[in-house]
Amino acid sequence: MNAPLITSSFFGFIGYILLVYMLAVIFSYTSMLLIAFIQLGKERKLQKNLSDEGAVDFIYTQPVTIIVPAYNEQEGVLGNIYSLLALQYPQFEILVINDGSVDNTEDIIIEHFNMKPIRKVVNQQLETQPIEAIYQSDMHPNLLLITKVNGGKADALNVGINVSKYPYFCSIDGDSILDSTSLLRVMKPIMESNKEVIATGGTVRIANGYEIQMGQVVREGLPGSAIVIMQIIEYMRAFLMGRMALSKYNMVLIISGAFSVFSKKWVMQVGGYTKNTVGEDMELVVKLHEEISDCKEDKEIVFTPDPVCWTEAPDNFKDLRTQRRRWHQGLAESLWLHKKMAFNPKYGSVGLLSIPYFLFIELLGPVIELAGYAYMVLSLFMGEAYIVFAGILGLLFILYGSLFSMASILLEAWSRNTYPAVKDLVRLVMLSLTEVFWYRPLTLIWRTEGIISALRGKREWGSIQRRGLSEDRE
Amino acid sequence: MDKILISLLLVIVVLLIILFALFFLLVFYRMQEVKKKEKVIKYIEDRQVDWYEYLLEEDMSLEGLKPHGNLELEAIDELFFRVNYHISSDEIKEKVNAFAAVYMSDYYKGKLASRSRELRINTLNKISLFHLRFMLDPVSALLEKKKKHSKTELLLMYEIIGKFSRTDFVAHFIAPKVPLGEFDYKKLLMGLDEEQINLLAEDFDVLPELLQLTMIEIIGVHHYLDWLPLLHKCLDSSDQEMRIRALKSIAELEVADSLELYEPFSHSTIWEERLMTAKIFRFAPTDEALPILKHLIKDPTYQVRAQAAKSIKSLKNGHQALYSVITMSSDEFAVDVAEEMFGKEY
Repeated sequence: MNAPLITSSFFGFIGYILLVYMLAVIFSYTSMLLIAFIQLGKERKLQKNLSDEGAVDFIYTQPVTIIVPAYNEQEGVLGNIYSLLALQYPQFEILVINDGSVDNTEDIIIEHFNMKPIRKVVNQQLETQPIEAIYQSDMHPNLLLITKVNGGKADALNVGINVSKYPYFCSIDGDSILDSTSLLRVMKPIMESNKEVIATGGTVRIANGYEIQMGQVVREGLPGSAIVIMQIIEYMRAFLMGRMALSKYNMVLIISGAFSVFSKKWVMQVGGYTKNTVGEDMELVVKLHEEISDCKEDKEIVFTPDPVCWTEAPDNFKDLRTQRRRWHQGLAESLWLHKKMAFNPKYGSVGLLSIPYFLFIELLGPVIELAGYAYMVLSLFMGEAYIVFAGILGLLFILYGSLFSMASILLEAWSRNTYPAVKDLVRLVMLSLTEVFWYRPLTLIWRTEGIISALRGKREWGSIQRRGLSEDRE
Repeated sequence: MDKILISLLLVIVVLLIILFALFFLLVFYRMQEVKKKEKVIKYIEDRQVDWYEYLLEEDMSLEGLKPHGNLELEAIDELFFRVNYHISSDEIKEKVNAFAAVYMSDYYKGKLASRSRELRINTLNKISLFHLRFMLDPVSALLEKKKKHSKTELLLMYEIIGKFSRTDFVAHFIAPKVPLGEFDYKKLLMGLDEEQINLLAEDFDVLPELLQLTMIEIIGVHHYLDWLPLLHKCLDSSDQEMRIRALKSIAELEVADSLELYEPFSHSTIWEERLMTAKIFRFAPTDEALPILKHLIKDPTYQVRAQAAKSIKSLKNGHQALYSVITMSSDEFAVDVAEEMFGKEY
């Protein structure tokens, strides 16, 4: 065999691998889309506000500690606290953990909520960086500020768990805000399952461009920036398609750290949040799945599509790159730490389906997709036969990248009665069709960088510029 | 290869056409929905004064509010929800029930007979929320049907029967069609009044275990003092959970007699029992409570120590007693929690 023939055969072989991979990905996404469609269809006409009132009564509910890790959050923390104080929930405490911020986070909170230092014994069950002081608000006695030596988000959350006095805790990012009924609704699966559910996560939506006052969304609307709109589409796809389907079969590995509730007992059992990883939220969920299987307990971790947490999305390429690199690095680290679960029947559907899905489709997907893009370019130089091949691959990319996004938008609009408004819906749909040509290749590169960072053992968080969601920041 | 490419291209084009068709359909329905909502809002705005007079003033006739057509029925249904959300009053509920019984009976019965499970659940929720007593018979009839109901529907039907019937609920609570959990029982029992709880408690020994546990808790929450003997009886139970719940309810009842019955639990090997004992003794006379609480403030479990400190603080001369713990105790954990009590708490 001569060299060009070997090269050509090898090139063809790679093409087939890429093709098979893309078909497998499309098959799994189609299945998840169908499951989400069926699930949402079942609840579409349900008026959930009718059952909220009954659930507010304190005896139905479990008291919750809300933990807000805050590092340099002076822009958004007031809006965040206001939204938490307005929650419709009978019994909760708010612990804002100032993780050694170097901006004015601490002063702003102390001044704004009239915080006074208190003496409090902390049940130091998880090892953390030392606490410097604990303050309590004169105006809202259930609001506490804990200042501590900087130790990272996981460490701050562990401090919150140590200080918390209730059996469930809810972690919220310091720059996010919650809808007033969201805690009640995210707690519902826990209450209604009679404690079979040990963790729940709610939907996170992007609020750039929304009008927010005193921690409450007063007007919804799309922002002008295409990069933010693309992220809105991405969130819809990820939450509606990915998490809903996986949740139905107790296979969720990621519930967003921006808004999730956990049983304290179970989190303590697995040693709290893991430090030294950039994806502490996923890491905790995977640890819990491992523990459930090890203890042979019939417990569940679920995603609830309705409760909403509003967050601020990066509005420039630099910050978006930092965020995506970090997320992907976290995914890589968690999968590596729990490699023994992969393909292990002991861990049931999580070991046999969920972890392989996250490994081959979510983690390695960007590398393979990037290879696909490179393959298409190279095909132009490899002769006519390969151009057709590249065309097939390109069409699959369009199907996978843009059409699924469009379908997710339609699914979201169908399942919710009023949002988005018709003109916003048109913009979302049109922009989703462009995804495969600019946004997706960029995120693929950044996610691949995340894998490289994980392989190199980098632990840099990188900072993201926050503008704050609420108008109160001024 | 070419054929595959063309087929794939066709698939994508077809998919795009389907998605765009769905998109236009969605936009069409969305516009319809928005129009309907606007009409509902307009009705509420136009007629709010009349409704205000009917609901809040006496001797107002309901004839002038007679709904014409489905849209008005839906608008009134929405108005009931808004009224219920903002004002809670028995008289208003009575008037809502009276109006709905005359003019909206068919509307709610129709919704209850809907093929859509979600619509049935919405209707059951509304019957309960708006106190539509006249719907008791249709709901009971629906429950008797051999049709398979979801757990949510069954729970709502039991809740409605418990709310509107004095006795019929007992059989359903004792032998529900699906196994119920603690949360479900709590939801059902919270809707009952004292007389109904008494009726249920007459058969306490034959109730399902989870219902027994929930009842014990409800007795404490509602401060039903008459049932203290039952709680005392539960303290002898071999079931640990039953004993803890009974102690918890006794603590809620805020009683200060029969202390000799509770004192042994301060030495229990189960920390929750010691915790509840610490809670009970916060209402006891200082001389009887102090030795027990001073023992519990040195407990190995943090929660017990913290509760003991809290209970000491609430005793007569409690501050002094707590101060003596700080100055005299050699147990550093006890001193810690005692000092914390002098700081702010919530």
